[in-house]
Amino acid sequence: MRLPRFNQGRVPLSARASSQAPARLPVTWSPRMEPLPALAVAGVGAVALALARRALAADDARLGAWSGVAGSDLLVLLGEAHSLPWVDGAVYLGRDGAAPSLLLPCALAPEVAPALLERALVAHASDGAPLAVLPRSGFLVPVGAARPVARETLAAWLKAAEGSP
Amino acid sequence: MSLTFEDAAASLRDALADAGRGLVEREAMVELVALSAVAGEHLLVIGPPGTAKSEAVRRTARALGGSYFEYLLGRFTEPSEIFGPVDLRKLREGTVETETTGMLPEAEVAFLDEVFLGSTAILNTLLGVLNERTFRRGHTRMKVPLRVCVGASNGLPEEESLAAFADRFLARIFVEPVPDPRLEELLAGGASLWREGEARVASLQALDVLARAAQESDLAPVRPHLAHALRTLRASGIGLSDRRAVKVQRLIAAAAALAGRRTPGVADLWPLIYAVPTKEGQALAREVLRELLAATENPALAAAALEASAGPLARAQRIARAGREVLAGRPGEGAEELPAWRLKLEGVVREMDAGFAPEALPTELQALREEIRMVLETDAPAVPAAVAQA
Repeated sequence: MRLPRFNQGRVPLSARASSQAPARLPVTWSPRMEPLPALAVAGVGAVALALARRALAADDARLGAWSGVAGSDLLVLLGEAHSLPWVDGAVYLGRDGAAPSLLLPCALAPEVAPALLERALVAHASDGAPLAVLPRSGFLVPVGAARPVARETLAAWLKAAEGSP
Repeated sequence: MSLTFEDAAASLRDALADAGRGLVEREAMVELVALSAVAGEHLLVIGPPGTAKSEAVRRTARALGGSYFEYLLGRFTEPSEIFGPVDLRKLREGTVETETTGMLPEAEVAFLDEVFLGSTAILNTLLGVLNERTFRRGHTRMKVPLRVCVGASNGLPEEESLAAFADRFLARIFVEPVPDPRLEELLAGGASLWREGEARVASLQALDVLARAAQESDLAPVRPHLAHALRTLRASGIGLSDRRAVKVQRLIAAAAALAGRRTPGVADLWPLIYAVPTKEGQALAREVLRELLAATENPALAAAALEASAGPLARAQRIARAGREVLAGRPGEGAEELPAWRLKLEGVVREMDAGFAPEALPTELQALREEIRMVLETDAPAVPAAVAQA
């Protein structure tokens, strides 16, 4: 897994950047029998932009209920399950009681003991827990420093992201 | 005109879907009333007052099409308030007969709130009604047409004599107040109940066709799986009396019949959870039987099957049903309700995406998801211009 390098100058929502070297874990994932309740939604690349646009289209009350972390290529919004926005391709994340420091995909379970995975990932993340884990796109995102989403800052992030190659 | 098994199952399924509409978090209860009615068993609902228990039973009774009797019992309730007054003309002739018109002995569906507050005389008479479908009082002896009795209480009784009475209710469901995230739905659903719409109604004939099919169904193929489940429960310390273990087969057969199956299979084992007598026992049973109940599915009783099994197929059925309902309720172009409707649609696809890995999304949901995606993406809300230019 690799840690995204956040561009701090353009990411007023985000957690601190991390530039730690990629850590590789031979972890496979399989569909979860019973999904985790969603606590966050994440988008990577074009999905992150779509997620930001969708979030900006929400009314102030809904937007204010979310907190977020943004990187140069991704956006994570945290909030109550019933309020989280939807865009095609977004990944919903929840907390497994056996690995409370991680936000794991609601519908996927690691094929290693969650507690072991948690220990390994937290040890690799200099920014500390909790960590959002996006196995399919390979991101590990520290979300502990998530900030309430402000419309202007999210719009500025979107504009910058749309402008970047 | 005789009703086919398939038609009976379909008509009950439609009627139950209408009965549950607007009742937030009570869909499983509605379905369990019907399941118990088909099985010829009784249901006990445990939960605090004001949780729409009686509304759920009332609506189900209407959906089933039978005559309905409802009463709130208290310490001072007289037997005549439940079973009917003594017939004074007959009394002059020296016989104690009960005039049962409009009372419990003539009901096909009954709801007794605070059932454990009944006096000994009431509970003793009720025992005969529940067990043998026979009403005995004074000189009156009559067979009762009761298909299902739903008892409700705030909690399970601790006294041994009442516990024995409570044991006559094979199925049990524990209800809680509607959770915070669903309060908006509760308010909207509650308001919609005041505007009584056209609800489809099955018929007692449909109920009886299914009940007969359940009685005649071949339980042999599912029995080894049920025995395995019971052994698993015992190994986990979950007490289920032999009587309950035997009688749960009636619920399983009824679940299969309501799903349109003549032969019960592993998909129909889930009612076992509701036969576990305590709330804690049911929660533990769900955990230890999770793998066995993963095959659970029942299009007519989607909420009850899902609540019991937490299985993916039952979950997919419930989401699909909710999604189709939301899609069908599209407001007209330009209507004020359009944004709220879109949010509901988003809620449906969010539940799909949070609940299933893309490769594990059941076929039924794939098509529905695509349909909703198209709707959401063709008229997506615009980002306010001022913000977009920030």
